[in-house]
Amino acid sequence: MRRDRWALPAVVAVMLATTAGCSATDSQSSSPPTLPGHDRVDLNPETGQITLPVDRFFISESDYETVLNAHALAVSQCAAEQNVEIPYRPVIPEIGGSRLFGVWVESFAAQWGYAQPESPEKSAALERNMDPNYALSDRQLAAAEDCSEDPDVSQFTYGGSLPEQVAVELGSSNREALASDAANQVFDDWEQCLNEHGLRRDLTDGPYGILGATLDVTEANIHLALTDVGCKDEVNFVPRLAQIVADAQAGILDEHAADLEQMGIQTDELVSKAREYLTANT
Amino acid sequence: MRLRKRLAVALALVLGAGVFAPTAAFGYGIGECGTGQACTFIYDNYGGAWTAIYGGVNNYGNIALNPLRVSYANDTANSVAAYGSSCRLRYYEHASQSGNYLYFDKPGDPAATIRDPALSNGGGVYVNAESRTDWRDRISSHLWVNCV
Repeated sequence: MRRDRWALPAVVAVMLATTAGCSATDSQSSSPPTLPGHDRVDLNPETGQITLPVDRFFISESDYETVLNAHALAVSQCAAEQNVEIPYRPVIPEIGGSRLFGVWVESFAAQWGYAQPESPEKSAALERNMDPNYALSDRQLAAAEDCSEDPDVSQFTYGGSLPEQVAVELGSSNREALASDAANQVFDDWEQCLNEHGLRRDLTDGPYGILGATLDVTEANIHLALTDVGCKDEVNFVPRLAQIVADAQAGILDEHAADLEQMGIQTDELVSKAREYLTANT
Repeated sequence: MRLRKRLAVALALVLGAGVFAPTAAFGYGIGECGTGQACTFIYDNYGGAWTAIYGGVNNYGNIALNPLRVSYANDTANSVAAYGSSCRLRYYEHASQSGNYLYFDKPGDPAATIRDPALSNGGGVYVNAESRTDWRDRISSHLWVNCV
């Protein structure tokens, strides 16, 4: 087992086996023991990162940014050899964290309400994204495509290798977990708190909506978001739901541990290679 | 001819999915999706009514389907494309970019996974397990990410 995957992270590792009110754990009491880490959830309430057990074997969002940068640099260098200029532009980091269970980070809610947090650099990039003139030209695209066969470039291509049937099993498991009595209790607790603060859920477009909330950054939306996040904190909403899903994943991960470990090793190697390449070439 | 195709798509919308499933052969399709846009189509192979959006979408429940613009796109996408000029794209299962997501590259990226003709087995870059599950009629919002 690789040390970096299972070492205690700097982030808050939330283990809810002993958390009062988490009936999912009770319901799993007769389940066989799981392999280390296969039921572990890592939450970072500062950055908003949520890492469920299976996520640990896939590439993280920040590591994927590193791989994208290495790929972009390799393409730029390969294209230059064909006398085609493709400027190297590194990825602008995302700062919004995960909304797997809706908005949950207090500092984001206080500044952005329900809107996606974004840096000024990203705001500018979003403007460019709508500009066809900013896209690669046909000549540049042709060069990039040619270069995709170049081993220096293709080495920085990422794709999970977990058998897709296992992913389907995990998806079903996730959905069943979130529809379980234990999960419903978590939603009920959150809703009760919302109601006590004068808020109502809006189930029109998913389970995490709040009636009257929009993504405009206004005082009213910030107030709603802060109340929403406060209620989630009060009832331990995200940790409990995450653990319910994690417990449901554990058995599947146990069964496919070899596939997952192999994928994790490949991912680590790719990220290390990307870091080294960027260090050596920038 | 063009008018007849439009009427056919309109009829499909009125009758609803499942009565018959027009594909790109009906006259609309991937060609409706331009540079800088995120696009959804209600049928496989980029067929049927569609959306083509430049910015972000917080709720496809507020986005009218082309060409008639009489019904809305929430939970209707069965095939998608992402043609960002400088950003990649996440399609989310719930409004306000919440829940699970699919991830698509931008043109010129590694292997350039920029569209998927059938979401029944998921789609996009294999960056999470959920992206290989059934995503038909599931997309509710999108977010441009990993911009340069």
